[in-house]
Amino acid sequence: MLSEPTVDYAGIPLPEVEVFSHVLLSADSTEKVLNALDPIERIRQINMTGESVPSTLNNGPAKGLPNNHSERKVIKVGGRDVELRYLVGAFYIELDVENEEMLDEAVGKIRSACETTMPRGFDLSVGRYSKYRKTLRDYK
Amino acid sequence: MAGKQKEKLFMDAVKKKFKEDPTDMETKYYCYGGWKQSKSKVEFQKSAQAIAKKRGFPMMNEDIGVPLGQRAWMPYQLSHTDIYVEADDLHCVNNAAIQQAWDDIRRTVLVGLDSPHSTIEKRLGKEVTPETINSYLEAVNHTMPGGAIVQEHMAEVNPALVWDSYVKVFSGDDELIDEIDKRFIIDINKLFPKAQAEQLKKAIGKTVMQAVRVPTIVGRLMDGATVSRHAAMQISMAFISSYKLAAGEAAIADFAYSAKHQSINMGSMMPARRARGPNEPGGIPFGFFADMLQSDRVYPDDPARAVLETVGLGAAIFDQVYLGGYMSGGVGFTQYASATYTDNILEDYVYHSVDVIKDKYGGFCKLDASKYDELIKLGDDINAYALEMYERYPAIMETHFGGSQRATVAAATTGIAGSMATGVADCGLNMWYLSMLQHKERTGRLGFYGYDLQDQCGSANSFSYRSDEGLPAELRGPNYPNYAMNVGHLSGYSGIAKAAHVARGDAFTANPYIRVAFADPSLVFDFANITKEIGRGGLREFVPAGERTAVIKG
Amino acid sequence: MAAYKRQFYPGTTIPAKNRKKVMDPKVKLKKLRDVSMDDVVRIMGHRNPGEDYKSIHPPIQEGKEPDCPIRKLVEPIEGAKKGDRIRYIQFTDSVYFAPISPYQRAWMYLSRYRGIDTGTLSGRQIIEIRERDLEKLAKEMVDNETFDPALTGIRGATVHGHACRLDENGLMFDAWQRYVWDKNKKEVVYVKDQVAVPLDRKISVGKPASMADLKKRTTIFRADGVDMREDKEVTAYGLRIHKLRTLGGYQPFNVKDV
Repeated sequence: MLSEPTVDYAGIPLPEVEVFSHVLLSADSTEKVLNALDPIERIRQINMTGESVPSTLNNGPAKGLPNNHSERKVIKVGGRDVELRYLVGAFYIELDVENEEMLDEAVGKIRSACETTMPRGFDLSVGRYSKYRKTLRDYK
Repeated sequence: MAGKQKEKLFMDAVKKKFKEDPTDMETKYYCYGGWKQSKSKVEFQKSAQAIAKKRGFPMMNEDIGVPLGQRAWMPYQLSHTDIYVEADDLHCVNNAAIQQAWDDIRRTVLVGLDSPHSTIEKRLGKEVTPETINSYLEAVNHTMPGGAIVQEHMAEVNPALVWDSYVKVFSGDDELIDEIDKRFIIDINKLFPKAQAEQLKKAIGKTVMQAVRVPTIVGRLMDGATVSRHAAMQISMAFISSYKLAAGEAAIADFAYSAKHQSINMGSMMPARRARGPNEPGGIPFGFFADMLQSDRVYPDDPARAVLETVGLGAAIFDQVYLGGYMSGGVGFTQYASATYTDNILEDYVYHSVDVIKDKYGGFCKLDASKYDELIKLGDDINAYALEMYERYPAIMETHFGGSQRATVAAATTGIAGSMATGVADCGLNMWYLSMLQHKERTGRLGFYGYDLQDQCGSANSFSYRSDEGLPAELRGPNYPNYAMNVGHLSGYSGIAKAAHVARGDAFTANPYIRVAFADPSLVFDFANITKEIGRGGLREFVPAGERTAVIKG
Repeated sequence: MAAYKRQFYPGTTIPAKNRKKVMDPKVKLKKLRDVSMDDVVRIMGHRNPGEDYKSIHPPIQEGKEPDCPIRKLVEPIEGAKKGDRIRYIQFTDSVYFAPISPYQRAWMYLSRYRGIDTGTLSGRQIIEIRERDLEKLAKEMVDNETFDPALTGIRGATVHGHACRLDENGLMFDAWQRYVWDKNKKEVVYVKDQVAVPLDRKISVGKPASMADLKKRTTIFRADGVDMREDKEVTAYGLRIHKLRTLGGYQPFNVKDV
């Protein structure tokens, strides 16, 4: 699990766009969404959340067997390989913007990328949803 | 229809970014995370970006153009704060603030000075004056942390271990308080809004009460039951010294007796089968607990906040520490309990309830508690709203992914609304059970077995007062027979007790002495800002007491 | 006075009627598919098809039962007669209009079957019974209208998913993916048993119902379907129970006009 904030924000959060899909997305659909978001400027990082699809069964009588979940696979984002560990349900897109115009522009592009790639629908909102200061867990 | 209106309440603000007033309660759900809540934040924003750029993006995955992370859980936002933490950060074994909240409760015992003063004056014929009281307070603030007095060759405690220990006094008698050394006073007039201060002083009268805080480390090394004993020993020594008594006099026993047996413990002793003495969490009545919570003192115009903070601390102390640790053992119930004080979901439901109550009745406590059918109607409305939110918004359904979380939050909301509408906590309690029955009926599912157990029979005991059948809600507690086993309930019950009294404008719920004792700024944990303190614990900003570093070679 | 006729459940709306239906043992539930008994046994994973039942005591007829009036009164179920061990099947029902939900399962089982031990939680519902009786019951439950291939899961462990959004094929989430979507046949196919041990061969449980059909079959009240408050009788019944319990424990003398 990614837990540590990726940068030192000096205690100040940057805005994030939450794209909350109306359905859990397959690996193929996730790949499409990410590739549509990839060229958008001012995206500083994207965090995906969803339901875990473990590589190995971690309890019960089948413990230790490979899970072989069809959606746990390597997708190509911007030409590079990314191994998906979740059935993705939402994207948290952090924006490196300096004013509201920049923000509006980036949000508009994100919305349109999602409209193209998420035909089953999504909700989009702007706010802050992720940690921007280190917490106990980051000092393990 | 109503659905449209709710849509507006809930999501409009989210969709129209930044357009809402960030203090608007109706749009609370997401806007706490909103950027640009103030001008100064925009300023900071720019400098933060400069700093961030300078330092680079350490976890950036440059291979894919944008850093891409994956996580099962988004962080939890501590309700009504801008602090985000992980589930682990809220575990009571990790979180020093949660521990200190419990330490500060456990290490407190309230010991009246009236009885010892009467012994000194009537039996020993000595005069008690403000000067002698001051002299005593100096002495007891030496003895309570572990300082020796009177006897020779006594070992003492290292002060660096017990800096948190002290004794302060308070009274409803302004004249007397005026003459006592300010350093030892919990000043009701300064700490409470005027109306609350008047109520408290009237309830306390001329009694002079000591708020005794034994060292955190003492409570941890021994147990809650030790607290009154530690206090009694050190109080007796201070009396001997300050009133120049002979240590062997029989009167000394009176001091110890009054300190041990005429004192107010925060929790009563539990039955033998629980194997816990006084001042352990299972013995704290909900009314006492509600009095420890101080949000309504500092934020008197925001009664909902006071209730939510009570629920939050109730979850931490009763669900996490007590049921999750003391009773169940093991890793505990963090994720489950923290649903009530994170992500602003219960906040939204409770502020919505406040609006409904104000619209419907014109204010709090205006619904006649004897009009039961009307109360039921209100409960039905509030509960339907809470459950509907889970059904309309998958994000909320997935945040409270367990039926027990949803059951607790919906029932707490309904109960709090019942309390606030009537000003009677028993009405709130009854609405909790209404919510549970309706929830089960509506969705065909509820929580874990505990919800089948106590929530299916709770309607029948919610108004009962007769011995062995019931108690007023304020005097029930975690060990009330029907409540003793099931996590996810005690937080709501605490909030329900608090809700009735904040709605009435009461300065206290069950005990004015406890109310004043926890207003004390010298406490390590701030009982007026629960979620913030727990968040500070998660951020490693909270500095607890009881640390042993002073005696460990490092 | 006319003989009391069991109503099973109040209400006039679709979910209420469906509740009545599943609880009334006289109503034969519609059979929507026919998964073979051997395949049901495979999905449960307690024994291999054809294998003998494991027993935990000798057949009752062989043993010396104590002289007990209750034992004389109660006819043992088949598995008990034979001394079968007690095994389980556990279903997970999605909140998104699954045909049935945990409490209705419990009520249905208790209304229709003998010799069962059932446990209800928010996301899953287990039923335990002697093994040969379990198999009969399980087949009925997999075949009949209370089961939907997409929104009902057969899950012995790692059951979470009931509160999750559905996936793009309309399937309830399962971290262990015990069943997959067959794109060509548009069917749901089990590839692992209920505790995720891989199956030797795939077992189809058929095509999922459409959402429109599920909304007609469900027992769940929801704001985006039939809200419970639209059913006056169900609402009144719930509130009446609460009121009667409240008064019964507090002012029994005020319980009137029951």
